Amino acid sequence: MLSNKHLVLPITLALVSTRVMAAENPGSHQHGHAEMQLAFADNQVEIQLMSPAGNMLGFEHHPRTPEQHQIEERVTNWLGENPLVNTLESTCQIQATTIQHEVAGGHDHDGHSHGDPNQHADITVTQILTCPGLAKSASLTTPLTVRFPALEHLDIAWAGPDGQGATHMGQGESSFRFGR
Amino acid sequence: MKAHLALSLATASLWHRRKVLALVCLTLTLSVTLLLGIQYLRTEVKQSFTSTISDTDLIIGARSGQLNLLLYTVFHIGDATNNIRWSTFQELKQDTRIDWLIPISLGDSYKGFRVVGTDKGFGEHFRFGRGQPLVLAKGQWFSGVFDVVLGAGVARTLNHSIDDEIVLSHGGGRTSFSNHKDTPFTVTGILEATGTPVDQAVYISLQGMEAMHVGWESGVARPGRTLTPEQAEGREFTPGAITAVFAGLDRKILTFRVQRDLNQYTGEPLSAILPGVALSELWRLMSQFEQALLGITGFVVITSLIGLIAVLLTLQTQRAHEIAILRATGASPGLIASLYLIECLALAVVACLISLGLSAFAISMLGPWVLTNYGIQIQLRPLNLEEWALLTSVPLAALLAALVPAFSAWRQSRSQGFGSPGEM
Repeated sequence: MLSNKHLVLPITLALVSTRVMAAENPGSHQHGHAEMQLAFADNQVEIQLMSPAGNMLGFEHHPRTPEQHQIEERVTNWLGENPLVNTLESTCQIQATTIQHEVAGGHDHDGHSHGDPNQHADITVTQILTCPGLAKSASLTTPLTVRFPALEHLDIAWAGPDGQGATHMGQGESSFRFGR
Repeated sequence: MKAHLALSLATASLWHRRKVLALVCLTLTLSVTLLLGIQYLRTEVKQSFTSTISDTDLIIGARSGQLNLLLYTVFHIGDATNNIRWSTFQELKQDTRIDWLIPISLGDSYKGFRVVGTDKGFGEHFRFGRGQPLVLAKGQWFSGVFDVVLGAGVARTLNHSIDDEIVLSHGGGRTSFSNHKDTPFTVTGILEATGTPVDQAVYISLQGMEAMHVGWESGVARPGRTLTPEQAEGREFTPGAITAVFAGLDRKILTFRVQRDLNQYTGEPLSAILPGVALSELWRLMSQFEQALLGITGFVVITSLIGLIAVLLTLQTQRAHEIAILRATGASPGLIASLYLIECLALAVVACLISLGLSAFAISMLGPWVLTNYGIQIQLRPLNLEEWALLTSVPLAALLAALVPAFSAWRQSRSQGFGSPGEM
């Protein structure tokens, strides 16, 4: 059973390398772009958000300056306290949050190379929400594109008992229709 | 009192000019029907398209892009880059999170239609539209090795019926010179039309698919190595590989987790896609065409409204006497202008109502015919919010359009100089 307490892992503690399986290519890493997956069951939503760290923090390396430490702390706290999606009536409550900071696929572009201290990194946020009245909602809101202006394109995919679908949100857009 | 007077005058005036206005109303009705019809069709085709496959949580195939996997497994467009091992399929069956699996084996054709090798799970679990199951119009699902079930479109196009014998071709293409002549199949069932690509394929068992390829290992039949139907009956055929798998999960909330696990499967490179998500992506590619279509229809309505203004302005000269009498009996220029507004609004509302009835009649009458002949499922349903908004915009636009003749009438009435100088 899930605990009601938020499980927030500080980003730096969870700095791990992306798993690269024998049969797997490195994951893509595109600044300004993020993906969010929503899985529904009754009033529960399981969310996974995958984004380049730069979209949220403004940098992708370990925080070096006091300002960067502050930014990281603020973002971590915000992600732990704010549901990544919500009903129009804001009924969603966070049951659990985990945040993972991963070194991106190890590819080389824009002058960065393997072993570079400025290597790309991704943030993966998972949240479990309970949202009373979710079954009646035809639209959901997300604060992501407003809170993180560097996030220019957000691809959203959902799956649940009433079907699957996908949509796309641009900068500053905060709600989307979904036909579950 | 003034409103009542304006309404009764407008009704009488409309009735007096009913023949000309009926033609105007007809033009407007046709434009509104076109606008509403296209919007309705757009919604229905989108619904039909995004429901080409439903209740299938994942499609699993060899590593490739999601659209490619969707296109060759569901729409029978393009070819698989690779197959997946039968042992992988067996392993997937052990996953307790997965409720059911449908194996799909592609590669052959029948007169241009895809041959799909599958098992009985296809008939049991495959759903389309709003969770509708596949229904046999005639006969039964395959039970023997060389039994075949035809999609509705195939049976109709090639005029096949139960117990017909058909010879499948090796590989794709409408014209094939490599036919599995030694192993003809017997039609045991014909599916009802679904309005999906299911109608455009023929379905055989995986055993049948394997049996007809015995002796074809080099891509052509090796004389003496192929089987006869008699030799094949009673033998067990296990495929070495299949093209893809449709999967249904016990708990939908696990869909993304199972997808991630399958995408990281170590046994062989796999891609698991969510068909509903891939269909939404595919539809998004076509959204510009969709918008263009709606734009063109909007222009048709605008043209029709401009025609309405032109007719009303033309009729204005013929109504000089009527206006003069109204003015002489004390009607103010404002009342006369309001007559034009009421007339235009009334015409637009009548056009919208006729158009609603006409559309409903056309959909209920033509829906089954369109499904059978064009494979597009169009059902009669209540209008959605977008369609109501579009429909109500027509009387509003007509009211705006009526401002032109109304203003002109108001100005002319004032110049006629009846009544008190300060009246509007």
